[in-house]
Amino acid sequence: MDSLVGFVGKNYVLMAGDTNAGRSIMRLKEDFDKLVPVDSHKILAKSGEIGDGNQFCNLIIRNVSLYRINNETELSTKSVAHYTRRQLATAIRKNPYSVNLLLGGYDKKDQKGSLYYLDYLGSSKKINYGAQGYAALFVGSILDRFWKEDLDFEDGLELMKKCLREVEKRLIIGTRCFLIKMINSDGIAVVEKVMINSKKKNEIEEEN
Amino acid sequence: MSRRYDTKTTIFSPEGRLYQVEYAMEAIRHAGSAVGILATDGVILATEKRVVSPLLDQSIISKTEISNSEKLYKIDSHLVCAVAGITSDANTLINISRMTCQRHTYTYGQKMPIEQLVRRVCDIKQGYTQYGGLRPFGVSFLFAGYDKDFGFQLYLADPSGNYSGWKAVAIGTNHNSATSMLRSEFKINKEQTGDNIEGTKELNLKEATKLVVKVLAKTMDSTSLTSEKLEFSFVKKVDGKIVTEILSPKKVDELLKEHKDVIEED
Repeated sequence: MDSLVGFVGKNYVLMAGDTNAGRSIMRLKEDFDKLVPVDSHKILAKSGEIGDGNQFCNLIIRNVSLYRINNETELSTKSVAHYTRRQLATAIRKNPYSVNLLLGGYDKKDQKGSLYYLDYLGSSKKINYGAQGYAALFVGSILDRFWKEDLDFEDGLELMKKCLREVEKRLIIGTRCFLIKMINSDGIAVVEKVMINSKKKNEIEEEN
Repeated sequence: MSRRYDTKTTIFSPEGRLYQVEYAMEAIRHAGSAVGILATDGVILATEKRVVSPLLDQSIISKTEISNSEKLYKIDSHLVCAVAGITSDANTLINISRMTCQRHTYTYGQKMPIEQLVRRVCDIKQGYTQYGGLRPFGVSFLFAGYDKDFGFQLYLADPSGNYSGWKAVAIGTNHNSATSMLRSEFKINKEQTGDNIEGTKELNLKEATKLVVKVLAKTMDSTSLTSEKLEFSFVKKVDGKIVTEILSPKKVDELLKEHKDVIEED
């Protein structure tokens, strides 16, 4: 039921997640933020069990914070991905966390954004674009077709909305509301909170 | 009177001193000297060998590329250390340093930052001055390495568990004369800097090597400088990659020949 989408553009990373929190057939909450900040320039987008997601992301965030305080230097996105994967890989055969993640981050030192796909089995892969959850079924082909390296922000946002439109249209479970966030050299910013209704003429409404 | 406070590390003297720690530092003062200089494009460590005997089996060096260094050790591909003091004590800490570096890479996928490694070793050393009833490590280390955040670095870690970063440092025998030589070379007068403060010179690796050879020539007991008595190691960037090298005896001889003029200045 969770849908997470992310891709890397020209000096930014764009990530979006649906804002539904549900339990079997019931929608518990419609404004659930799944894109949690790890530090000023990284986002962990979580999907899967809500409790595991909270617990695991807390673990990562607090450990990254501890590293920063102890060593007065920030971890790179690559290192956070490596560390997160290590935690997932050791847990899978003991007490698995049912979380699938997208880690997006901007590294000031390299002046580049990067995106990592991590899943509950302990996989980790650096990707240019990708998705978690049911969205991955639809969004993969759209991004295969339209994603280019070094997309401008406006083009990137258009592409993201294209993806989200498709998710809303094709998923039988209603995921109307999405939250789009961007990471660039200035940090994390909420780009838009959109509500999509493909039946309406004016498909996408911006919600403030 | 101080005899009563000598025997246990975990006891302060009435004057507030830890005698065992001080005695450990004394052990290093009599050890073979080691000099380190931080240059703009690298770090150089040089050490004086203590065990020099024709009976030593050096054949392993010619058969393989393994370094048979007495006082210089590679901790990781970006970090080298020089040892002064009790070598067997040093071996334990070197093993721990190597493990710590690999554990860091295992967890974070990056090379361990130098200061973090030095801090870890020093925390262990400090433990042996406070609890356990064991004697402190009788070793000082010069750690030289490179990391992305702070570039080339040189640290001195002493038996008390203190450490500091240095531009140039000397430990072991004759370290006082070596240090004063280094200080006079590095100092820029107030007139030269233009501001009203004393500055320090910035040397490149070539100039630093020359200075190290000069300092060793002046402070070593023996008359001639050869690869029999000296060991050198570098941390530098080659083609954009960080390279740590402990020089083979042949390369040491070449280096000393290159700087022959500095040696014969006396």
